[in-house]
Amino acid sequence: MTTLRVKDDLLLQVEKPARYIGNEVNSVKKDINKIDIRFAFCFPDVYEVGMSHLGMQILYYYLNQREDTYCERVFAPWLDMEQKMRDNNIPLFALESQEDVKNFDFLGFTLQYEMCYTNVINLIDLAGIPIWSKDRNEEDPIICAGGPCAYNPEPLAHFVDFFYIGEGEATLGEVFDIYKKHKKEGGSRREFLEKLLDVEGIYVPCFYDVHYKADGTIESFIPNHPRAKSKIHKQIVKDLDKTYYPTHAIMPWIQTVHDRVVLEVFRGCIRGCRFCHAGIVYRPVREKSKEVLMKQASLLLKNTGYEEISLASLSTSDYSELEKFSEELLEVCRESKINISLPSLRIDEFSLDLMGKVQEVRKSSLTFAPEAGTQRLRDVINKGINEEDILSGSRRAFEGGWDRVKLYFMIGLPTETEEDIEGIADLASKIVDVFYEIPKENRAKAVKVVVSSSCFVPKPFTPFQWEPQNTYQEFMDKQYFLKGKIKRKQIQYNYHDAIVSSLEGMIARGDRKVGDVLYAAWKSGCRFDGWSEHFDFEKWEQAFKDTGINPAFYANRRRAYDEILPWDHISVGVTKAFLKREHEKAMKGEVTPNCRQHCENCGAKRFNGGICYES
Amino acid sequence: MKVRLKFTKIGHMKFLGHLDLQRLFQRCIRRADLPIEYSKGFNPHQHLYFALPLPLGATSEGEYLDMNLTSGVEPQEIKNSLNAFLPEGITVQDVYILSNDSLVGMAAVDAAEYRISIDKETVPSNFMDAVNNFFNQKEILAEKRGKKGIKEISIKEMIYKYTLDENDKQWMIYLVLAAGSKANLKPETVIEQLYKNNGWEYKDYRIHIHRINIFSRINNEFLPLSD
Ligand code: SF4
Repeated sequence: MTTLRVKDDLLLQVEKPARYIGNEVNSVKKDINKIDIRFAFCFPDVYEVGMSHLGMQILYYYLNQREDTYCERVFAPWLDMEQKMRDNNIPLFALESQEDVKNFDFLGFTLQYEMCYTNVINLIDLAGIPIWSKDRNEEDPIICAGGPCAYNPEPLAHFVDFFYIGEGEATLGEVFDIYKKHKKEGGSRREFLEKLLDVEGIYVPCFYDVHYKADGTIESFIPNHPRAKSKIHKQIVKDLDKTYYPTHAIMPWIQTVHDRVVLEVFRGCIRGCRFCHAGIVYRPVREKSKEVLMKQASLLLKNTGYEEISLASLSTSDYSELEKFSEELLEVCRESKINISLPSLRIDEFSLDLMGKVQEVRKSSLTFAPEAGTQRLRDVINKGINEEDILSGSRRAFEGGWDRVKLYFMIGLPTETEEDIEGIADLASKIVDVFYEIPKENRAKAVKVVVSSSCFVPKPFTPFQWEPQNTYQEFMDKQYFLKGKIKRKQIQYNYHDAIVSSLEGMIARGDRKVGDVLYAAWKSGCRFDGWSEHFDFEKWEQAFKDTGINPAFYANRRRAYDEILPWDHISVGVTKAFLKREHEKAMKGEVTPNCRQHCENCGAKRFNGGICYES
Repeated sequence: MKVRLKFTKIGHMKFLGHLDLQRLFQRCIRRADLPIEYSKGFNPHQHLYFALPLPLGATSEGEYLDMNLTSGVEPQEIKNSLNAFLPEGITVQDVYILSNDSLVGMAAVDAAEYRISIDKETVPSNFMDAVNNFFNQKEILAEKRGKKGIKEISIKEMIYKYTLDENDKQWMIYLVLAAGSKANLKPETVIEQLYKNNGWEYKDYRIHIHRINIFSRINNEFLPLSD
C-alpha cells in the first residue's frame, strides 16, 4: 500500500477525500527506480472534472507506454484541501506515487479553458516552484503546457517554459528523447530549452521578444535566438487507425462528470462554423474506421466494467460510417446491457430513429443548437441549419413522444441586431406551435421549450478573431431584451452572468501583458474562476487597476487585418488568408460549404492526411 | 441463485463513500462477467443489496453484499473472479449460497458490532470512568438530527453490548448496536453523545470506527450474516 502524502485525519476533514488517494483501478504503477523521466500531468481543475477528460487519459497511457517514463496525474486540490496543504506545509504531490512534484522532471499542464489559468499559477506555487519561468533554476522541473488554449500561449508565456502545439502524442516523445540524452550528458536548463528549438511544434517563449507600440498593439515579435523558428507549426497524428489508443481507462473513485467509456470517433469537424475555435484548430477531420472503433469499444468496455459508452466528437452525425457503426454497436451493447449515449447528433430522421433505439427517449430532451435566431445571422456564422430543419425535427420528435426541446443560442455574435435576438423568441414560439398542431392523441400532454443563451467570445484562429466582443453591459441589455420577448409559459429562458464570458474574452485573445493580470488576480486569491461560486470579479477588477491593463483593449476592440496578433507565430495549419476570406464572407452573409461538400483550401492540407485527401 | 458476499473495506478504501463503493462493485461484477440479474426496462441496472452502508472514514472486516445470479457459479469462482478486479483494501473473503426464501440486504440485518479506537492523548485521564458511567446510565439520551431538526431519542435499548479495552496508545470501545431497517443506531451517534455529556470536544476525524461484523437475530440470538 502506497503511503498517502496527506495524513488520514487531514483527509477526513476535506470534502471527497478520494480525490487525493490515487491508485485507482487501471491506474499505472511503476517502479520509480527504473524510471528516467518523471512527468506530472497536471489538469488545472478538480479531480472529477479532470478525470472526465478524454485527452488526458489518452496521453496518460500513451506516455506510460514508454518504459523510461512515469506519467502521473495531478489535479487542482479543492479549496478546502489547498488550505490544509498550505497550513501543514504539504506541497503539491502526484496521485500515483504520492510524491512531491517538485522533484519531478516535468510538469505538463493541459489547457482546456482560459478560466483555469489562475489554477495553473496556483499549482506551480503549491508545488513550491517559482511561478515565473525566469526565476526557475537547475533544480526545478521544466514546466510545459499544451491543449486547445495553448494555440494562443501568450497569456501564460511568462509562467511556462515551453508549449507543445498540437497533439501531445505527436510531440512529447521527441522531447523526452532529447531530455533523456541531455540529462545523461549533463547540461543546463537553458541548454535543454535551446535543444527544443529544433523540435517541430515546440514553442519556447523566452527565445522571443515582443515590442509594443504606444497604443498597446504589437510592434514586433521576433526570435532572440538564431535557432528559434519564426513560425511554430501544430503537430498532429495523421492516421487515427494506426495511432495508439488506450484499451483501458482509469476508473475514478468518485462520480465524475462523464463517468463512462468515451470513444473518440474522429478528430476535427467538417463544418466551418465561424465562431468555433475547436472546428478550426482540430482540422483536418481524421476518422477512425468502423472496425477499429468496434475493437476499441469492446476492449474498453471489457477492461473497465462501465455500463455506458458515449461517442465523442465535435459532431457525431458527420461520421461517414455512422449508420453501419451504430448498428453494430447497438447490437453488442444490447447483448451486454450497455447504455449508449450520443451527444452532438444533428436532429434528423436517422438520428431520432437511432436515439429511439438506444432508449434515450426517457432520459433526455432533444437538443438543437441553432446558435442564432435568424437565417441571416446563421448564414453569417455559417451554421448550416435552417428553420425548416429545426421545425420538422421538432415535429418528428413530438410525434415520437418527446416533450422537451432545448435550444442553444449565442448572443453578441458579429452583426447582430435586435431583430436577430427577437428571432430567438420567435423560433422558440414556433416550436411550441408545432407541438399544438399535432393532434392531441399523437403527442404528449404538455411541452417545454428551454432556451439557453451564452455570450459569444471571439477566439483566436477563427474568422471572428478580429471582431470586438460585446461589453458586459451590452450582453446584459440583450439578455434583458430577450427575456422581455419570451412570453409564453411553455418557454423557459436560461442565461448566465455575462461577466465570466467578458473575462474569458479578454484572456482568450490576450498577449504577454495579460500574464501580469493573471498573476495579480491569483495573488489576491482568485482560484477556480470557472466555478461561479468561486468567481470573484471584484478581485479581477482590482487586478486590472493594479497592473494598469485595460480589459476592453483585448475584449471589445476591433483589430485591423494587418495588426500583428499575439498568436501570429503559431500555425494551426489553417491560414490567415482563409480566415480573412471567411470573415469577409461572413460580413456579406455568404455561406461556405463543409469539407465533405467542397474543399476550400483552408491550409490544413499541409498535414498530408485526413479528409483533405479522401476522394 | 441468491448469493451473499462477505468482504472487507480497509486501508485507503475507507475514503470511499457508500455510493462510490456501489459503483465500484457494479463495474467489477461486470468485469468478472458474473451472470448477475438486471432490472427490466430502460437502462437496465444490476440489483445489488448491501447489508448496511458504512460511513466514509470507517473500515470494516465484515461487510455483506447480496445479489441474484441467473445461473449457477461456484462460490470459489465468484470470489476469485471478483478479487482479480477489486482494488487493494476490498477483498471478498467468502461467498455463501442463500436459500430462496432468505431475507437479503438490509432486511436481513438486526445488529452490528464495532470497535471504536480513540488515541489516549486526545481524551482526559478519567476516560475509563467516564465511559463506564455513560453506558451505565439508566437512560441514555442522544440528539439525533432528522428531517424535522434535532430531536432527543433514547438509545440505551439499542445498545446491546459495550466493552472497553486498551493498549499503550489507544482506548478501544467495543459496541454491539441495533442496525437495519427496524432500529438503527450509528456508532458515531453514541460516541458523540459520550463526548458531549462529558464536555469534551468531539471531532469525527479523531476517532476511528471499525465494523467487525453484522448480525441477524434468529430465535433471539445474534448470528453473523455469514451463518
Ligand atoms: S483543406 Fe479543404 S478539406 Fe482540408 S480541412 Fe481545409 S477545407 Fe477541409
